[in-house]
Amino acid sequence: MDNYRHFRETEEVLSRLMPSCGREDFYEETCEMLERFERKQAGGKKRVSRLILAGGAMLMVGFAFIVTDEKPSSDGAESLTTKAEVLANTEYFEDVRDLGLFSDAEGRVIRRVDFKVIGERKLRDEETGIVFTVTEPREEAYLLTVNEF
Amino acid sequence: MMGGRSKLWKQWLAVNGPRLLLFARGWGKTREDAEDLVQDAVIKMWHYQQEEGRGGGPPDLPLVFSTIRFGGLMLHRTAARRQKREDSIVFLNDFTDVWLDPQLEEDEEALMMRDAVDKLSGKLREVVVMKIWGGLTFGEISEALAISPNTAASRYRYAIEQLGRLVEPIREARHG
Repeated sequence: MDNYRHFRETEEVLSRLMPSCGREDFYEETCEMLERFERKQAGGKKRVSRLILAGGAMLMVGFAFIVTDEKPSSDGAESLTTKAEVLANTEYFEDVRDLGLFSDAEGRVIRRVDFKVIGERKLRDEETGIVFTVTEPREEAYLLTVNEF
Repeated sequence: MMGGRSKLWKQWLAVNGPRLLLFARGWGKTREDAEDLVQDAVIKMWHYQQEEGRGGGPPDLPLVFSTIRFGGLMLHRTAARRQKREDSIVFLNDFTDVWLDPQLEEDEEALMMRDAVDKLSGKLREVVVMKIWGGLTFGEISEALAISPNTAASRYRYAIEQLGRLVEPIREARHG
């Protein structure tokens, strides 16, 4: 029992210490780096967005030709099928909402952050060679356990 | 202007940066070493989390601790860094802003405990840091260090006993 008390006392003293915050510059430098990475990624996505517009326009033109020129099939039904090759599959955050702190059933303090994720698939139509992007937005929640010293 | 993703990482870094720096301090001999280790780990984690299926958000802490530790192992093997470490020994006292602060300034017992933590072997100190200030479970610590949960728990227990013995003189003087 004595050993157990000493053990707990030692842990209690340790809990009276807390990690130093560190230099402000360190956090600024690190965050700037992450922002650069994010901008670089976003720059890649802008190029894809321009491709979407170009590809979409070409698809519309192609579709118009098909509709006006294609003869009816023998069974009376017209159909368009597209085989597409997946070139890239990415995800990124579009919107972040910090919903603040709350306690869960076990009394832990949790910070909830909701965000909108955009899934993007870059595809190439195998027949026409047109490259286009399909976007799939979804909502997700991220829970961060907050520890106290 | 900060985008959504980097904003989330910034919030995560604000909460977890101090404990990561504390852990990294055990692997470097200077403040710069510790900051470099944490920064390198955060960058690696950023790119890792952008891979398909990972969501892009901040990583789990055990993985970050593990990455910092690996970086620290590599650091010890770099000749250039070794030279800098040797040169910096006389400036160890500068390494005060990446460490532990007592919540009350005059807490002599806590200050003694801080010195005692510094004297622990690396293997024991890293477990104590991850458990007490990293908030990890023994399961998560075992994952980060690639050891069994029993080994993690044993090292922790042994470290606490050792720390207790080091500050016992103060405790006894206090309680008569």
